Amino acid sequence: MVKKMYNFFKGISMHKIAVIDDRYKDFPEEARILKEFGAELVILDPKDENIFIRELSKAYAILVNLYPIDKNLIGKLDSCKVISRYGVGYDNVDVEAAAEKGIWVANVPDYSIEDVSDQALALLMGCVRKVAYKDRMIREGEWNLHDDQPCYRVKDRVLGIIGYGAIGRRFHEKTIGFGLSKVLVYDPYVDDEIIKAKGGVPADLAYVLTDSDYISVHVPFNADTERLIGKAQLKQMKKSSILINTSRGAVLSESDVADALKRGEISGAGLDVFEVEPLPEDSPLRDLGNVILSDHAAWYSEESKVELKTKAASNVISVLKGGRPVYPVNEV
Amino acid sequence: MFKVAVTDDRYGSYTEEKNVLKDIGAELVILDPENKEEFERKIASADALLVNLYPMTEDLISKLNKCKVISRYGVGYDNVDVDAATKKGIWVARVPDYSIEDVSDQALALLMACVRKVAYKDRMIRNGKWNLHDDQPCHRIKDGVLGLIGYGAIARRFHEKTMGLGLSKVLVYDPYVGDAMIRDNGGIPADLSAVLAESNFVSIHVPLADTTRGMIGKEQLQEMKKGAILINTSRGAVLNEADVADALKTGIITGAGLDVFEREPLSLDSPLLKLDNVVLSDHTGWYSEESKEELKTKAAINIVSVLKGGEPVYPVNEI
Repeated sequence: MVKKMYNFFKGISMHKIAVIDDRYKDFPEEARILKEFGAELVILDPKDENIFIRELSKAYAILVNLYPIDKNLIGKLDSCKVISRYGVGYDNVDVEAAAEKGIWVANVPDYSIEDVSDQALALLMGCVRKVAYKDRMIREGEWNLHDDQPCYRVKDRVLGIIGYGAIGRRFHEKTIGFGLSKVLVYDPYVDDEIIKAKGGVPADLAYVLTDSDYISVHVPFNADTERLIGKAQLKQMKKSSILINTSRGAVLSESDVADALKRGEISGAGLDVFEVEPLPEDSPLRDLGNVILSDHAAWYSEESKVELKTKAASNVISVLKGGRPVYPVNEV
Repeated sequence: MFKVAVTDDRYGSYTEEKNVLKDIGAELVILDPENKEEFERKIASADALLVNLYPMTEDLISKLNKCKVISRYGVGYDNVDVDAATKKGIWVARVPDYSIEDVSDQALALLMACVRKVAYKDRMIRNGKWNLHDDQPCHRIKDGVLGLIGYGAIARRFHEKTMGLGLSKVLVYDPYVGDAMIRDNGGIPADLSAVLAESNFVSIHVPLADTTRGMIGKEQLQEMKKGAILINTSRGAVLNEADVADALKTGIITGAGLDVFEREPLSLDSPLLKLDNVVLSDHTGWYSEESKEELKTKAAINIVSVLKGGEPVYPVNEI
């Protein structure tokens, strides 16, 4: 069924803007912007397939979060001019299929740099000091937990950053006061000079894996980064190391990470993203005391949410006005 | 042979102490306060005590027939009646400098966990929940105001660690530290009211003393911002815990990260255990493998130093 409608110009024919997967409880930012252009916001429920497909085929634009927009679905978008993703990554959208059908794909690349780097830091410090584990155990009546999982000082540790885009760099900056001995950076697309200017040490992947106490992953998801960290890479890591992932779940081989955590090949992990989300009920990660789980929340703060929703809608407005999206990822 | 007794066993193994005590051929005994009769008998015959959190009251100190030094595992010594010890000619010693890195790491971890709701989300996800961001709103650290209450070595190190976070300013209240020193470190000297009223994040780093006991209670919590987060890694009794629990429940403040409590272990009927906007830890700010080794070694060195006829390395009284 159509869950909600923001209809501002009843009776007037207007563009329908469909929101596919409802991760937000309301849409005031989108509604406010779209209202100015007489567009109607329709919130769809993918579970109700008939209405979902019918409404999508009529939509002028789509605002999508994590729902997969595959070639098949794109084939049914008869009126669509732009697919605007709520977020940085757009691996859930078949960009080529959209381009062939003359549909712009747009993203919002710059709304959550602060937030994802805050989250990576929170997960890292959470793993270092066993914050979630201790909080959970204390609520179950336990105390004096320091022998369960040894803690080590942050000072003099080596941080490894895989992927050195805006988020990787901001995360690096946030650790500046920690007293780390060095920060190793692996990013084949970033000049060594940029890494050095920021105080990092350019390194290949093997060097980052073998020498780092903490590894934080900040790469986009694509064919090159899919399962970048699997069994072989985990074996190269230090036994005491902590792995943080706030990028995309499939950059890690999740079952290999779970195995490594269980066997003590690495000592902890802070994971915000997973191969399948929501994390399946039978995921082995749920039973591990040395992992911190979060619900693909790194992008989020009240500040970033407003920015994201406003900018995602701006991509649509820009096309409605006859132009390109503000942040296009393909060419039409 | 000298007898050195550990009053309350928090460690399980005592390799570092034994290594140090070997030097004077002292024997190490680990006491169990639950077994009262044996505890009092053994403590009476000990030449020196290693004390963790066990309360060394005037009454207990009066029973120490041979003790020359009470060496506390830690920075604070509020559980030791120093005057009573002094009157009985017993040195009190501590280890002031072993956990600066560790407590500041813990304060940062609790702060970040409160900012990003790390413990809450982990717990809820394990209970089958997802999409939790509407439960407790998150705000960016960037442009936030940090308030530090107490500006000793730990607070200064904590301040340094926040250097890259993009805070708009760091307000510091410490009547015992000169304004120039606060400014040199990039802080802004402020009175307590200003810290409470203007800070998004307040972290407490004071020793427990008459002047700091209960310094954050109902009235002070009312002065804080509604969205404020309170971190305490110092001593539990610096806060009025019931008032903090009330403020968290009624939304007067938005979150708290607490490593220390008025009574430890935290009582199972503590209202804090039922609150989702608090992160609890088990007085663990002092701990890392590095600090534990340093602490145990230095606490034992205080004892060896006295039993050899000298002063403790870190005395807190004068004999």
